[in-house]
Amino acid sequence: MQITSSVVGAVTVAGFAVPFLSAWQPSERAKALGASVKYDLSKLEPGAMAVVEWRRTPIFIVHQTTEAIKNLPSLNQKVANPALEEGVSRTINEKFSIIKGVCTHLSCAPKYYPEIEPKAWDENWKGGFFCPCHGSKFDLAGRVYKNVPAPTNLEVPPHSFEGDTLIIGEA
Amino acid sequence: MASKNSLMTWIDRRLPVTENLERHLTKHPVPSKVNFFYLFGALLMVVFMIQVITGIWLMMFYTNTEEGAFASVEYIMRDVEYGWLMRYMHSTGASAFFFLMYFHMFRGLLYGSYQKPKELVWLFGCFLLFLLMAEGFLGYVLPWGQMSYWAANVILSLFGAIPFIGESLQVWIQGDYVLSGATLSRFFALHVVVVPLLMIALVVFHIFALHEVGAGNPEGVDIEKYRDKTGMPLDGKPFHPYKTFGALPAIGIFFIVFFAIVYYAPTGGGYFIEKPNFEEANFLKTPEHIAPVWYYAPFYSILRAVTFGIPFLGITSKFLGFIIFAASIAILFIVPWLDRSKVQSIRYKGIFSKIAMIMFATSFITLGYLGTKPVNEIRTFIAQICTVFYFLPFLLMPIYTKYEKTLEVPDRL
Amino acid sequence: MLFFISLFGNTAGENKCGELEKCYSFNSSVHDRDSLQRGLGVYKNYCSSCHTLRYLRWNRLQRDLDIPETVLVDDLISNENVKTSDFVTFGLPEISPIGAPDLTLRTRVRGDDWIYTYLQTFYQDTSQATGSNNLVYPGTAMANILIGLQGSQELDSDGKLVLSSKGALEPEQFDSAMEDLVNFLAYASEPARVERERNGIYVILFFVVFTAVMWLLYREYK
Repeated sequence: MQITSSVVGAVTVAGFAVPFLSAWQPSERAKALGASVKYDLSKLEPGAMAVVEWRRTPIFIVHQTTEAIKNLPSLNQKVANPALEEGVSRTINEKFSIIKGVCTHLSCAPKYYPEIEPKAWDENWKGGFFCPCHGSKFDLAGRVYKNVPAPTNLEVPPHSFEGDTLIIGEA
Repeated sequence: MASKNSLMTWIDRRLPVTENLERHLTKHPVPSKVNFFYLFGALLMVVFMIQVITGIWLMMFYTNTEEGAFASVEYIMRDVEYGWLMRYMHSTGASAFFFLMYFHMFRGLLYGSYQKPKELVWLFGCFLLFLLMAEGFLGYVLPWGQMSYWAANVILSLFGAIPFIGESLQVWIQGDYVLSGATLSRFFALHVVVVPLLMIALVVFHIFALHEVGAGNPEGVDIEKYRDKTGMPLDGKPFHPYKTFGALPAIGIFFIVFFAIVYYAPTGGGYFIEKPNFEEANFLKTPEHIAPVWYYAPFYSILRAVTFGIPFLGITSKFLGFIIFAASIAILFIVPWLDRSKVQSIRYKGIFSKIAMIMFATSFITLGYLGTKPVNEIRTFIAQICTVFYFLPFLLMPIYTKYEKTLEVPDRL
Repeated sequence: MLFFISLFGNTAGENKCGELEKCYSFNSSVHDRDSLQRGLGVYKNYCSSCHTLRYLRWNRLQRDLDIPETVLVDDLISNENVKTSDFVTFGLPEISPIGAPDLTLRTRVRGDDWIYTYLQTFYQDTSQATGSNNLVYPGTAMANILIGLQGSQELDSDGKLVLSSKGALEPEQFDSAMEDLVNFLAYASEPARVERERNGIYVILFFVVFTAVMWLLYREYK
C-alpha cells in the first residue's frame, strides 16, 4: 500500500508540474511574431547588405558581387566546412546570400566587412563577417573559418523567392 | 521583573525562545582567537540584508516589461526620491556580496573549514555561491540595457550547446525564440522571489549546521576538548556579546568602504555597472566588446579558454567550454572528500598544500583579469594555463594532502 | 616585450576612444553651476535641433541649474504646449528620423573623454556625405555642426589635426565651451550626481564615528 500511495503521490506531483513547466514555453503571441517577412531585392545594390528583422533576429541579405562569388572557392582551404550546400552562396539564388546574423558561437551579431583588404584579424581578408565578441570569422557566404570559436557556419533561415521578392520564414 | 519572567516562562512553554537564544547566542561557544578572515560571514549577513531591503524598494518602482524596464530604471534614478541611492546600494551590494563571498570561501579553503564534521556547512555554502551567481545573473538582466541583453544572450546560448535537448531547453528558458520580454518577466520573478527564498533557507541551514558542529579557527584546534566547570570550552567565548560586538567595528569599516563606492564610484569604473548598460537593449546591435561584470570574469575566462572540442565524441568546443565552466564551480562541492590531510589549517599543512593554495589564488585572479579583456592568442593561451592551474590544486589534493609532511597541531589555542 | 603588450595592452575594441590611440583627457564636474548653464546654452544652440534629452525634465533642470521661470518658459521651452514637467525634447519626435541618438545618457555610455574628444576632432573630408569626418568615430553621420565656432580643421600627412581657418572662438575659448557642454551632458546623464558627490562625505564621516564607537564597545568586551 505504501508503494501504491507513493506512486499515486508521484503522479499527482508530476501532474501538477505539467502546467507550470508548460507555461514557460513560447506563448501563442510569441509564436505569432514568428510569421514570415518580405523584402524587395531590386533595391539592393551589388556588394551591399540589408538587415531585416525576422523573429526578432537580424537576417543579413547580401547581394554578392561577381568578384566575391569568384573568390569563394579560393577560401575552401580556410573554412571548416567548404561544401557550399544549396548553391554557391548557400541559397537557392545565385546572387544573394540570406544568412542569420547570429554568431553560432554565443549569439552575438557579426559585422559585415565586404572589402578585400588586410584587417587586424586577418592579413588576407577576402571579405566576410567578423564577430567583435570573440573573434569568429566567416566568409561572405557565412562559412566559418577554421580555428575560431564558432563551431558551425552561420545559419541560413528558411526562405524563398517570388520574382524580386524575398520571403523569409517560408521555405 | 517578575511579570517579565512569568511572561517569558509562558512563552517558553509554547515556543522555546530562551533556550534557543542561549543555544545560538549567549551560550554558543566560539573560538576565542580568530583572525579577520572570520569576519566575512557576519559581513555577508549585512550585505544580504542590504540587498533584500533595497531590492524590495526598487521593486516598488521597477517595471518588468520589455518596453518599460529601461525607462523605469531611469525613473528610479531621477524621479524617485533617493531612488538613485537604492539602486547604487543594490548594484554595489551585488559586487560586495561576491567580494565577501570569495574571501569567505577562500578562508574555508585555507583553514580547512570544510573538513569533517563540517562537510554540510561547506556544501550549503557552495550551494549559496551557486544561487548567488544565478541571482546576480538574473538581476543583471533586469535593467534591460545593452549589456544585460547581450550578456544574457551569451549565457543562455550556453544551454543551447547541450546536445539534443539544448535548443528546446533554451527556447523553454527564454519563453520565446529569442531573448525577449517573456524572458525578462520570468527572470524578474526568479530574481525577486524564487532565488532569494532559496537563499534564505540555505543561510538558515548553513548557520544551524555550523552551530551544531562549532566554528573553526585558524589553528585548526579542536576547542571542545578542554572545558571549564560550566561546560564552556577553555578556548571558547560566548557568541554574544564577544563575537557580535567584535563584528560591529568591522561592519563600520565595511560601511565606510561601501558608501565611499556608492557615493563616489557607483559604476566602479565600468566593472560594477558597465558602460553599454546605459543604452537600452537593442537586439540588432551587439556591443563592441562583451565583458562580464568583474565577479563572473574568472569563470567567463575559463569558458572562453576552451577553444577545442572532442570531435570523435561529438562534443563541440562550445559544449566542452560549458562543461568545464560548470565543473569549475562543481569541483568546490567535493573538496571535503578530496582533502585527506590529518590537519585542518594551512598553518600546519605541508609545502604542497601551500603551493596549491597560491597556485589556485593566482590563477583565479589572473583569470579574472583576462575575463574582462577581449581575447587574443596570448591571452587565450594564458587563460588555458590558468584553467589548468585552477583545477590542479583540487584534482591532486587527494594525493598531496595524504603524503605530505604536516606539523604537530597544538592542544590549545 | 611583445608578449606583455598583447597581454596588458589595449586592442581597438577596448580603447577608450576606439581607433584613436589617445583621448583628449577630460573629467566632467557637475558642481560649477555657471559652467552647466553655459553648457545648456551651447546645447540649445547647436545640439537641440537634432538630439533629445528624453529622460530629463524641464523643471528638474530649472531647479538644479537655478534658471528663472521666465527664462525657462520664454527662452528655453518657448512652446505653449510644453509643460515644465515635460521632458527636454525640444519638440523632436521620440525616435529621430535622421538617426540622431538621444543624448541623456550618452556620457555614461561613451565616457566623458570620448564625448569631449569626439566634439574636438572633426575635420574636413570630402569623401564623406557630410563633408567632414571624425577621428574618434570615423564615418560618423553627424555633420560638423561646430565648425562655425571651432573653425575648420584638416588632417595633415602625419594624421594630426591642423586648423585651416579660424572660427568664431579662439581655440582656448572653444575648449572651454566644449568643457561646459560635456559638463552639462554629464549632469543630464545623472542629475542626482550633484547631490551624491556633495553629501557622500557626510555619510562616510558618520560611519567613521560609528566605527569608533563600536570599536570602544568591542574593547570593553574583549
